[in-house]
Amino acid sequence: MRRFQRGDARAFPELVRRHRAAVFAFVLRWTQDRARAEDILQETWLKVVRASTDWSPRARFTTWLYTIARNACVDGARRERARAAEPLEAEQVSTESHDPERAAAASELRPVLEAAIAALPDAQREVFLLREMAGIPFHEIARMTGAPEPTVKSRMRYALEALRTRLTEAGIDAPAGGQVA
Amino acid sequence: MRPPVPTHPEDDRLLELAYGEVPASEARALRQHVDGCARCRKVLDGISEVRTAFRSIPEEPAPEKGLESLLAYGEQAAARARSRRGGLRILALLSAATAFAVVWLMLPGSSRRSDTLVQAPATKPPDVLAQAEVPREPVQGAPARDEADRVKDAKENEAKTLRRLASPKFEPTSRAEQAKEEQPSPGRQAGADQLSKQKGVEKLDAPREQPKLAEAPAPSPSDHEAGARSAPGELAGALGSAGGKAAVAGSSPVGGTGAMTAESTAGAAKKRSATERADEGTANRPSSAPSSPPAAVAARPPVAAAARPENAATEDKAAAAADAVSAPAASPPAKSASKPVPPMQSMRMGAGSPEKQARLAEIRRQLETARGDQRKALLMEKCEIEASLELGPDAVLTCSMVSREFPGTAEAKRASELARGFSVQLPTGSER
Repeated sequence: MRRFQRGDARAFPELVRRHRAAVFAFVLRWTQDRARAEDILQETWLKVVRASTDWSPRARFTTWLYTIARNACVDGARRERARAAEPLEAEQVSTESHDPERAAAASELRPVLEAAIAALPDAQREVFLLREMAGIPFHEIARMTGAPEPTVKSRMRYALEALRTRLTEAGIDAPAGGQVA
Repeated sequence: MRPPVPTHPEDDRLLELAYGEVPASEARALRQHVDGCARCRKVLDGISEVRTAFRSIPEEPAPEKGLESLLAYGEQAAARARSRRGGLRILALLSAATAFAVVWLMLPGSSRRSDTLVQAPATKPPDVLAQAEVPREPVQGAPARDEADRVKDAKENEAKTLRRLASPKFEPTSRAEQAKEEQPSPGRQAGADQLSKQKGVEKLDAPREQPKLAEAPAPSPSDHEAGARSAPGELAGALGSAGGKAAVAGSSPVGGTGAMTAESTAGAAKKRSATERADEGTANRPSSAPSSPPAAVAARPPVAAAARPENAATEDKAAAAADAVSAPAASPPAKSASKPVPPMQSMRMGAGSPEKQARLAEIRRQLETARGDQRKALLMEKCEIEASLELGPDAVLTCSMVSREFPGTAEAKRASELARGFSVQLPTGSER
């Protein structure tokens, strides 16, 4: 990012190559909608370019990047909620609803997990995605979200518990592999 | 370092342990506890289970849509950043250069300006003078530069007398000559324009009148002298002031405008000299030359002498030089005693002029060697003859020589009275 700030034209493609897929996955899991995720992904990277002069090396780039992505997701969710108040709401809800059994049967883990994540409260999903996908430490998530760090940890625990319950309910055992740190 | 945890750790602590946010030493203690605690191990396993399941899902590939435009946008931003940095660098360099220039102008200002002022006239004016003096004929007596300096010094004091000489009685000997004198050549006008730009109107106006009057009677070698004398004087002043202004401005005009002015003025001087040479050639032709060379030659120094009697020694030199110049020029009239005087000249001099002119020529010849009372008598006689012949400039010149060389005498008073008849007030010596 420092190279990009200095005007190195090759630095930006490198940043995109490293982080774009992860950001997209994060946004997609947040939004549970591919089209919206694509829009938010583009919006996120445009914001990265525009705000590149504001970035300070004191902050980790990933934290800064996912903060932008998270804010874009929050704004997108707000817009979606406003749109949900309109007549299309029923149809949209119906598309987002899912049948865990059918999904598990269809493709096992992914649909169950995606559905479980989508079913999480926004605050829990946010913390879960930021920590699990973006790898942002809890204290930084607390700073990003403006919530106290213990609250962030509680949300994370609740999210993990809910996901585990969902996976168990779907009859999906966690793959062996021990602890993940 | 924390000791091994005897009791169950907080769930948040286990969460931090699962995500590797616990320091290594504490993590070891926690793991020791978890290994021996079924409850805590269950919590930790539950977290790991979800994480493992989540990581087992392959990541969705990012869409290619919008990637190209995004990269182009990033490239533009990088270019902007480069130009911004470059601009800032240039700005910094310019600021530094400006600051340096300001410091250079401010701190050693006096010495630098004086250097420039010294250099400006030292480089250009000599060329101008050289060019202006090239067509000049050799003059006996003081060097030309001394003459120029002396004339420059005397300018202020001459101004009053010259204005008096500008009275109708001191009209040039012929209207054609007057017109010639009043019409500046294009080169001269160009030079004057350049000078007016440099010096301002008020400075140019005064010198413009003086050469006209000094040159008014007729062109002659000494007229060239007078013209060349005044021109370099003006040039020196103009260049000096231009150099000064340019130096104050502290920019290239030092070489630009100053050089241009010098060159154009030199050109003007050249053209003027050429014009005057042409005039001289015309004037030397007996048939069409209604000129009186001696009067023209001598017109200038006595005027200066009348204005500055205190510089008698210097003025004597000028008078001697004028006489020396006028002597050879006067010799033709002396020869003309035997030859018939051209009709035009006779008409100008009036009735009986051949005899009087012969006498004047004789007086001039005698004045070369005469001293004391003899010189006084000769000058007085010459003054009276010229006055009787209405030769205003000549009479004023001769009378001023009487009043200057023999102040306080009856002849000086008489000469003053004669000069007053031509609206010129000469010092008699008693006022000193």
